[in-house]
Amino acid sequence: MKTVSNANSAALDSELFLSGRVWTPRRGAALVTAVLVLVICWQIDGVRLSTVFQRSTAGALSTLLRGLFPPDLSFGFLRIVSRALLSTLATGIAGTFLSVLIAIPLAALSTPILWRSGILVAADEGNLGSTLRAAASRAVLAFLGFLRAIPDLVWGLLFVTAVGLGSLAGTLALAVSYAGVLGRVYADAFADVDPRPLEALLTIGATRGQIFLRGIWPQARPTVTAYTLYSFECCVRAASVLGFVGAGGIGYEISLSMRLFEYGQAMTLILAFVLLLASTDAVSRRLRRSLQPNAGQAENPRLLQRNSARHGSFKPALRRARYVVAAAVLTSSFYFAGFTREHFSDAHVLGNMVRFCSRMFPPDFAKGFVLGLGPLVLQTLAISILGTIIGIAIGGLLAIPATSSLLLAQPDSPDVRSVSKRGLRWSIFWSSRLALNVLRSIPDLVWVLICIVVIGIGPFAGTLAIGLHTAGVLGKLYAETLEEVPRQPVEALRALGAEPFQVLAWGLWPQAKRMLASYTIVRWETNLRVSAILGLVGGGGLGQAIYNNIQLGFYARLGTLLLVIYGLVMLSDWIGDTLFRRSVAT
Amino acid sequence: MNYSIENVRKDFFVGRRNTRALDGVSLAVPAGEHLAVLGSSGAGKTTLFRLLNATLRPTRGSVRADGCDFAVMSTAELRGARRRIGTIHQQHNLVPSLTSLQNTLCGCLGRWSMAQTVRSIFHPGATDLQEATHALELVGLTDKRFSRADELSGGQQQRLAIARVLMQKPEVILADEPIASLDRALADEIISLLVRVGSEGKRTLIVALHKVELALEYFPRVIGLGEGRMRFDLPSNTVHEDVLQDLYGKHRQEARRIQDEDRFQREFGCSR
Repeated sequence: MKTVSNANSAALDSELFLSGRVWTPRRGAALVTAVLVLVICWQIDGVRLSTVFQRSTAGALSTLLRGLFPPDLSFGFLRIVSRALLSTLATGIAGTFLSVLIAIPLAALSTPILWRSGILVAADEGNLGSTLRAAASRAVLAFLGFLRAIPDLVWGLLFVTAVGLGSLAGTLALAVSYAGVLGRVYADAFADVDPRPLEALLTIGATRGQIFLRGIWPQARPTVTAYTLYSFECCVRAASVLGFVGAGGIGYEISLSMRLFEYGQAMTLILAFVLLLASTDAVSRRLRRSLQPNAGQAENPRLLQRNSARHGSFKPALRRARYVVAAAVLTSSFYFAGFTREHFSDAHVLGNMVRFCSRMFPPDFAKGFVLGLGPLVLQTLAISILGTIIGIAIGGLLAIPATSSLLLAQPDSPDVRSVSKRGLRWSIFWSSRLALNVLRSIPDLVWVLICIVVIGIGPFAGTLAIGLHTAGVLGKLYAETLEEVPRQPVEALRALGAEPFQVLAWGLWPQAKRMLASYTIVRWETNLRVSAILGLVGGGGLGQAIYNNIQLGFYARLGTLLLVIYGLVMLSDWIGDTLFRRSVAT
Repeated sequence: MNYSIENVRKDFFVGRRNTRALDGVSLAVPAGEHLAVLGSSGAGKTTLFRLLNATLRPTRGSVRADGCDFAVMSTAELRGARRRIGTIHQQHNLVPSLTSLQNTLCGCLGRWSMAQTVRSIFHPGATDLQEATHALELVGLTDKRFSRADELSGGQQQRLAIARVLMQKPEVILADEPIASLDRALADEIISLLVRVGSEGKRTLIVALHKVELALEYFPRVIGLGEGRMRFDLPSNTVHEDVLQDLYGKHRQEARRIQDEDRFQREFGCSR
């Protein structure tokens, strides 16, 4: 089926190719739509290029840049920085741990093979209990979708309102929003297991719980651990940003110093933040490798030997030591993340949360309020689309020189031997990589603050901020994808005399375009979530309304806003799935 | 194009280990000559070809085309030289997601300007299209021109690689094991196609082969590579069994395996 449609579309494209018409109705319509969308987004965002090229903009930019250097390295401030770093890390660890605790049972409850379809339910299909169980598991899946759809910053805001300022709110927000993400990933991992062992267990007479523990879990465990560690990195990143809504950690300090125009302090904090991210990346990569000792080392016998020695002779003692260390790290994380006894007894956290949630029901569907949301929804969409386009443009331009297979001479090839030329290419390559890394490692909310300083409050600042951050993320992905394209066809093109640009157009692009498109779509979906919250710091869109209604205590309206965001995210998933991915797949 | 290789050595560093792929190889190929390279796997044939098409730099010694050393050429000159040398790679090395027609058009890349390349992404020039269609016709792939390269069978991919080289209109054709994965009938067809293309354009043709009989049948000159060294360089009518015994000496078993396989293919018409 798939190959048939592939062949058809290829033939169609080729007829077009042969016909010599560059302009066909389909291409024309696509271009007109694209231009229309761009113009509409441009209008809604209130983009005025004149503001960018004004003298005051340049002045603000130079003040900002001069303020950023030198970073504030005074002892007193460094103590604040280190405390903020510690609480951010603790929030990340505690948040990940809690989200795993919530996600595993929810994922198990939503796994289709246990409750809905397949051999395990074939026997009692159709009776009332089985139908109810299937419905319940679907409901759990939808609940996970809801947890995921609400951006983590909104969760942060909700928990700050419910339990007060500080890391505790941040940890809870991370726990809930990452439970949604992890739950979905775990459920997918559970669904991907080989069903035959499960059938064997069923015939032995195992219960569902036993089948899960002995059949599904062992098979899914590698995926689960790998993704959990990956999400730990994301959690630390998110923990740093949650401070923007008052949920503690380094984000709070960054937003404070930006608002007080203490750019030198902001610079120190950003540097510390980047350092924290780099070290969590390194630690999680190391953990991943030690948990899966054979991954990626198959061809290195020495490493393998060392690993087997490590896992062999020192096993019991080392294991016990590891458990002790892990327990100590977890306990102290929870302590620094605000899980102290007085905090819980004083604030009546649970009671507060229940009261807060109940006040969001029923959501406010008054006509005036809902209609008033229309422009904000459009603005949010426009910010995400235009921001993604800016990101694609800048990221794409930077990705080309950051692709080593395009810019750097191949090892052992006779090309470019002069030292100066090699040096020039090498420095272009590394500076574009550096630019991408800087763009990427500064969180989008910090970009919003920076853009607001330079071009003023409003949706344009949000758009630009999303664009800059997206440029870094997509540019790096683009460059990596282009580098991972199978090398041999590319070598062949080079051998017949193709220049780098031709290698890109005829060798790399055709092989990579599907991946590039799918990364871009996924990023747009993320950006829609981000643009829904930019308003919290003054970047336009729905976020402003969320912030206002929380400040004013209109919790029923808050409920409506959450539903609207949920709808928007579902819409973006749908657009990504049905329109883009299908057209990309053929 | 007159080729000359003088005393070439090529070392590869894999990890910390140094592997010598070629050592002390010298060879002169006058323009228009047809030449077969024999040798078991790992003898250095692919390395020799990569030196000849200017994608690899020798560790020592020189590779010259028309008297000009690749090592002293600028990037632009190298590209010009590569344009004049067409390579048919062992693994075909086609761009899998492009159609046959587009892969054939890739042969033009060396002579297209930047503007033509940009234009060609949407629609290539009429003459180029005509030529590409003709090249596909020559190799018998007209009905497959809109199929993606990765949907073709091994033999079809091989012929598509030849079509790309035809499109390139090179002065030299290097073919690295062009019949490695084909049955006997198809192998004959491909080799005679290559020889025909070579003779028609008075092109130099250098082909690496596993199968001794084919080399002796189609090529006036045969060289033997063994463990990175030149073992013999003879007119094909003077190549005798003892020379081949010497070449495949250490790999006699493999030579026998290949012969067995040939016999199997002859008798049953398919590969094992």
